[in-house]
Amino acid sequence: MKKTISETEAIAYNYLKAFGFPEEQITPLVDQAKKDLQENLTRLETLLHEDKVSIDEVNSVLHALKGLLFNLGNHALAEKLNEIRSHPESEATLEEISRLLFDVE
Amino acid sequence: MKLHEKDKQQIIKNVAGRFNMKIAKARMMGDYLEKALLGETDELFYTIKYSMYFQNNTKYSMDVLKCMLETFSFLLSKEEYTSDREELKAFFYLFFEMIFIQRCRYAKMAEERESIVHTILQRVSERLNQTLETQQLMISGISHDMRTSLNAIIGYITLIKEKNILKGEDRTFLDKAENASSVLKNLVTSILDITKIDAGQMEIKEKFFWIDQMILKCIDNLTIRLKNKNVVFKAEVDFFPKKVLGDAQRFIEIIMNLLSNAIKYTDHGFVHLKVRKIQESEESVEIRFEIEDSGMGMTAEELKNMFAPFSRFRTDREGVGLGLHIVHKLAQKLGGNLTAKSKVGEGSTFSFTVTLQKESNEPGKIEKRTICFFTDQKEIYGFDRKIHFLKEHGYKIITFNSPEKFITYLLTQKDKAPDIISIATSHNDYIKFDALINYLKTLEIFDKTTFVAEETGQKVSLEHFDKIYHYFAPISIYFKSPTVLESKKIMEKTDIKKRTNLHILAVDDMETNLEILKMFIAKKYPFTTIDLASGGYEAIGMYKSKTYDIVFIDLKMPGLNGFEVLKKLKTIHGHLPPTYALTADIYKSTYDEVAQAGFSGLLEKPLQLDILFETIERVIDEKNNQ
Repeated sequence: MKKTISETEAIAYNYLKAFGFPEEQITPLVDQAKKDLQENLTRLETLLHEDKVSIDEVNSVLHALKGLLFNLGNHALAEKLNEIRSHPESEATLEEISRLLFDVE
Repeated sequence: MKLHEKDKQQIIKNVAGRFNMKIAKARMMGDYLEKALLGETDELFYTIKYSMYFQNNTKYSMDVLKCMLETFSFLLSKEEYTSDREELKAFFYLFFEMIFIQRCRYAKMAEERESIVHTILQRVSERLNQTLETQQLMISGISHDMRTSLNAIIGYITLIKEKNILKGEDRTFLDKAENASSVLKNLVTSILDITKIDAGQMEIKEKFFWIDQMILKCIDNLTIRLKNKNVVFKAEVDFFPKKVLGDAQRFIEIIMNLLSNAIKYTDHGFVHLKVRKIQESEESVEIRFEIEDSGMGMTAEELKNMFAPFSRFRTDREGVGLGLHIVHKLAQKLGGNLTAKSKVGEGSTFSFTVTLQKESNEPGKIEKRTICFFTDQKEIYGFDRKIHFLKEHGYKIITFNSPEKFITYLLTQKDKAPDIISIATSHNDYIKFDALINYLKTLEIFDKTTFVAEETGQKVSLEHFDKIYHYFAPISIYFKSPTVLESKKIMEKTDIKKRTNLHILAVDDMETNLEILKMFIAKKYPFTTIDLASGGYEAIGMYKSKTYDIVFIDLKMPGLNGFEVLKKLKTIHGHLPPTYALTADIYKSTYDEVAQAGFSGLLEKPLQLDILFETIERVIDEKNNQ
């Protein structure tokens, strides 16, 4: 999770800087983004560790994360999440989510 | 002198042939000629004079003259008449003079007659125009005064109703008075409109306007008319991202009138509005507005007379029968064509076709360029929309999926290469294309071509591509840099847009998304006020207390989702500002759902800034034009 957040933080910083936003605007925004990311990733992690995984809820959080990542400029990860969302019911998919977002091998 | 019988027969034959005359009549002319030569009668002169008067044309006179010339030449050439030569010559001169003078006299008479008729017609026309003008002035004056008085009556009725003093039967009487006043006001307004159109005083204010926004206004206005009606309304509108030159208000009048009629005469079933792009050139676009209903329809006779004033075929429906007459005239005034087809019991279809000038050479609009895309990737996010967007902006787009065909195309270009060549392929193939581009750049025709690598991923080293993008290239790279003059105009225009004070409401459950949206909008349009709502209920609260120019709503939110929020917003102020859905989930069905729900459009996440700004600028244009 930490890796995902720090990677996205770096990308977001450069992404917004490339659009000419000043640092005093970028920093609080990226801080807010990190909080949102943390919140959603934690929620997802909890959902994945439940005895019976709710695909709908997982999907909903993935959707929120996808939009957030897109907006923060982490398009690669957002697109991977988008692909995963198209077939979320398999065990392999859930493992893929864990690998991608929570550094689980 | 006396004619020999064989010569007389010859003359008769000539006359019959030249004038296509029956032989008996030609013989009579021969007898007249003979008697004239003998000095017995002037019948020949009278007959010819009468014929000339009757025929009254120069060709006939010439034919008579030619015939006489032939006849006398024939007689003078005969030895038998040598002694009569002087007499024949004298007779011929007399005859020639008679025809010539007579012709001149008739010509003069005809000219005088024509002049008299012309003068009379001119006087009649002047008189009629004076009468019409007086009538129009009178009608216009009376209608205007009537409307002023009616406005006062309606105003007082509204005041009395608001006071809520009257109850029961009195209240019903007041309602009836209000209805009657409205009907009368509509009638007076219609008469004023007709008077203005007939007098050529109907003002057409031409401005560039967005067609789709004009349609949305019509649809907005329909809501009240559809209330309490068992009619399904559907609008099918072709994608019109363009601004066209015309009087948007007049177009709304035409379409609203046709839609109102369709609803009025349809008790159950459907009313469809279809807006189709028939054809498009660089300068103009031909559009057909079609209003179809499943109502009571019209007979062939009714259809024939439907545009005549005061044509009312159903007295059980309100109206005075002036609407279609006005709409027809207005359509003509706008350079369009209004037609209709109908069948009793099945419904009617009204079609209004018009060609409108597109906004062109506007600063910021780009001259037509050719862009060639090569992609062997199965699916690139947003590719279709990008192609669609560029085509709609007048670009010529060539796409290739096969590398062989693409390379053959590049190597066989002789006159002009594409302005931009964009390649999206796999890692190794980029390196091959880089080498190919190195070669192409040695050819003169590729001098002005920009080579773009898209979707390259993170690690690829390319030397000869002009622009390299790890992801999808932004739409702005396809737009040509403007000239200095154009830049100045763009700056002037942009300055006005930047200064427009716009009120925006953005709704998303993710605060970061809202902040990013706000940052981008505020950077480009510093004078805008952007309110952020992190949920549906908060958005509704804000919307109630303030008037917004544009609303962005995320579709997927906990609590109320985007569709539910829109539904509630619709019930608040009556008129909904342009409202766009935001979503990261794009399926074909999403577009349909969003359109059906009544959103003005859909913005995909990640936000493509060009599209976001274009959307905002439309609203600014609309606001500045009001």
